[in-house]
Amino acid sequence: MNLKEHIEQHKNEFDSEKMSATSEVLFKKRLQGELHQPKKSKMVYLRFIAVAASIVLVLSIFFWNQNSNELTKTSEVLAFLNNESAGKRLEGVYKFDDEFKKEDSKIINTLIKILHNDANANVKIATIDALLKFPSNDNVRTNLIIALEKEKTPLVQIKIIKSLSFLREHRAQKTLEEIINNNETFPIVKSNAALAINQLKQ
Amino acid sequence: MNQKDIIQKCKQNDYTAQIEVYNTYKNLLYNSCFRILKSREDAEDLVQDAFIKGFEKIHQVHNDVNIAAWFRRIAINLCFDKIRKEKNIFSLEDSKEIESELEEMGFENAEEISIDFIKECINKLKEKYRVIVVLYLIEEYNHREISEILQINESTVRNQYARGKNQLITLLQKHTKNEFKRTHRAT
Repeated sequence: MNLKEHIEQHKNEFDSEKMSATSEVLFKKRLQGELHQPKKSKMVYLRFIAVAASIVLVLSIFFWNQNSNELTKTSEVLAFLNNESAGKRLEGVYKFDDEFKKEDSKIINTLIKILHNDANANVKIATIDALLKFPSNDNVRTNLIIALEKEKTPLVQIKIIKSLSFLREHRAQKTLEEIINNNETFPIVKSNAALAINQLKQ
Repeated sequence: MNQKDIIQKCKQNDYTAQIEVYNTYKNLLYNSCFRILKSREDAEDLVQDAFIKGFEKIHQVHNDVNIAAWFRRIAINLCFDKIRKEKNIFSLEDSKEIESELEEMGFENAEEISIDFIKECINKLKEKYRVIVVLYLIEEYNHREISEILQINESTVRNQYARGKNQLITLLQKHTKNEFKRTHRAT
């Protein structure tokens, strides 16, 4: 028998070496580390989601907090506006004028009620100033015209006439003419109404 | 689980199937690496490298491939990458040398020699002959495959194998003669 044939016949004896007992533990550890870890891109993606979620959470808390503050402020102003004391109502109007930059429908509706119904002229005049902060609000413009039709106090009438002239509210012309033609209207109110009609016509 | 299923599972990066493949073939690869490198530590490291590399590339093979041979080929290639890096036993000069074909010595009655002694004699060969003898005689690669693995000319492989084998036979014959003398002296 030649050498190659002899080796072939005893092939198993050449494969008698065994790997050490610790090698399997090491291999399992390595296999897990190299082929069974979450992929990097996945990790980056998860990290991105975590960061985005954190930002959303922080912003939500911020806006919720802000919204909560707004609600508190609104309730406070409404409490003042609905107070029996004219002084408190006036304080409420000024508070709204100072602290609110955005429209608040609840407060605006309350101010419109004051414009129509409040017994105190000073409160009404301050209210008109506060409402003029929102010149493009049609509800405000329409209610100023309606208020002018009903208003009997000269100071308040003059304030509304000047406001409608400032707003260039052409729908007020008919009411202004009625004021001029009304015998009970104070002359100073009539002259302001005439001036307003002229300005609206220009 | 049959081999096709195991390969399919490994393609899906199934941990249990990978461990099963490792445990089935680890000693086969280890013996091949140890024969080439002659270092237990290096052989163990390279077996692990080979399995990791194999599992990373297993999607490239068909499910009916001989998985043992495929992993063994990876391991042997890694062994020679290491040898090339560290020992540089196969130089460009080896590849360029033009030699006449050497004649291989014959050796009959090989069955009278123990396998352990053959192993011992193989390990005594010069490194560049030893690895080629191992690849041809034990790992059963042909000359063309060895030339691909070692990245040298096939004719160089043939000559170096012939030289290695002749050296091995000389060592074995010396042993046989000594045994013969010892037997005669005793009688």
